[in-house]
Amino acid sequence: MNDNYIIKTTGLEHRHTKGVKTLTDINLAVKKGEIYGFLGPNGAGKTTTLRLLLGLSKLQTGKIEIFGQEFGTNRIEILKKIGSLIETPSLYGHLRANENLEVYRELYGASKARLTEVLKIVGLDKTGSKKVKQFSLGMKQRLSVALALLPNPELLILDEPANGLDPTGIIELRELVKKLNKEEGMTILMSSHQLSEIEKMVSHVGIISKGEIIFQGSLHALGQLQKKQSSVLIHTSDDQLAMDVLKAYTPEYIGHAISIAYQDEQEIAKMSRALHEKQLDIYLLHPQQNNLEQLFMDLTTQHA
Amino acid sequence: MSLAISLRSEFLKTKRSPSWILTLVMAAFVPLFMLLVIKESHDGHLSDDIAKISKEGWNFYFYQGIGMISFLFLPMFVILISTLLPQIEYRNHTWKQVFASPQSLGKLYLSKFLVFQFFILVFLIASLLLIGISCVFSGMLNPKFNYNSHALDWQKLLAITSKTYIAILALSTIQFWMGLRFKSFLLPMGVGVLCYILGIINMVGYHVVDADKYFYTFSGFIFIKQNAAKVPYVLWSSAAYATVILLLGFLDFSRAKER
Repeated sequence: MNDNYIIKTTGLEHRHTKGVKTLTDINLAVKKGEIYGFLGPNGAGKTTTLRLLLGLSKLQTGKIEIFGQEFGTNRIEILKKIGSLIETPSLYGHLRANENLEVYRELYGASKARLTEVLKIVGLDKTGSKKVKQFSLGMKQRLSVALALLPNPELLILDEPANGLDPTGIIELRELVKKLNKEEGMTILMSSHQLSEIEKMVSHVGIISKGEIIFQGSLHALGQLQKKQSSVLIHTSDDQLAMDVLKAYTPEYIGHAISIAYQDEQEIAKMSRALHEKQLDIYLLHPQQNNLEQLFMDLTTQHA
Repeated sequence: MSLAISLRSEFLKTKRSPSWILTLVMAAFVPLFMLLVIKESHDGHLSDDIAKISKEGWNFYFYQGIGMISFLFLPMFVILISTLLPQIEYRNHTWKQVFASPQSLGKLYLSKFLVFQFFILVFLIASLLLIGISCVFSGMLNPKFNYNSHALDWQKLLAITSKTYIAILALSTIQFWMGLRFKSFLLPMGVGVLCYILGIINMVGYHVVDADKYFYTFSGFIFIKQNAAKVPYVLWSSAAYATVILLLGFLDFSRAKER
């Protein structure tokens, strides 16, 4: 396999105990140094995939390779280099922030200095004797991030890390993720159900819907797809004639108007001129430029 | 990664947890109860026990205490603590983080079992210490018992306590398995209490199965004088049951499809 891949899954399939298929042919490919956004609506299969990557769900079909090693046979070696936050914060409410990290410190071979450092990174170094059950959800989430950072991991897996964070917390998390990726060289796989939440920090995106990957590639490639998916709505005094005039653009009549995909604005001008030459009155000429969020919605809705 | 690291991690989780309070409170029950019931006079009449107790006061007091513990309080404590300890993970939703940490399932399972056994030993030691304190107070309140006339037979006490611990091993192991297995604490607790009550009925009243094979009441069984000859067999059985159940429990623990 290509050594460049930190995560590579082949043909992952998963069924819940009741036989319901939750994942179909998942081929995830995350390269070293990427910030990979794993996107999908709620219930699409994000958490199930991440749970499989961490060995929390038993592998049924397919293959998981992390750091170039097969997960099943190298579980402990691999987990030593992974920091994770899955679903809700996993913390001991009766313990303090530093005690929660102390539970895992030696398991990861981390020093006491590292423990203090990660608490500082997430701004929880001054919580004193306050027990975690007295923390706000945002504080718990930050402590979970500290726990994920404790082993100074090569790979950070964060499942919906922005849950429970206020807008400032989300911005801080964004900066932290970028910094860890840039300065520490961490590869980061983070899931979210909102593209807008992570599009400012990820370099690559995988979109999952109904247990299937429907897009995987760089953010740039997603941007190209966005352009391809842009369309213009046209309504004229004779839409039937307009369809004939513009048939080279493969128009589609959607009930109240004609929808035509376009690449750039020059094309819209050409269409307008063609209609004008045929003496058609133009009542509506509305370019619909998809933003990434709309594209994400369209992709997942189309697939559903 | 050594077992000691997993063990330290498991011990840290019990810090400030209700497990410690339960252990100490339950260990204090019998010594307090004894202080209330072992009196030199009842309703103005001198107790019939004065002659018996004054012969070997300390030994009598400790034997009575450890007997009550073995019959009732130790099994109940084991059933309660075996459900309370795994609840630290269930209640805090921390199993997933534990399983995503780099430790073998064997070491994780064993370290949880050892921490559980540690609490049983703490309960026994705390019970003995508190019985000792209770005996001192009993001596002050009941001078006719004359506890100081004879010294405590430490060796005998140690032997009885060790046998009690071995006798409870089988029950503790199956309760440990159930405590880990079920998210709800009610199921292992209910099953444990029911099996214990049925065992007591079987042992002292309506005989259905041989009591020397029914491990839920082994710790009480060894305190009945008529059973003296069967005690070695029961202790070996308890250890054998514990070993088999521990292995079966691990197979179940390591093969879980979802964690």
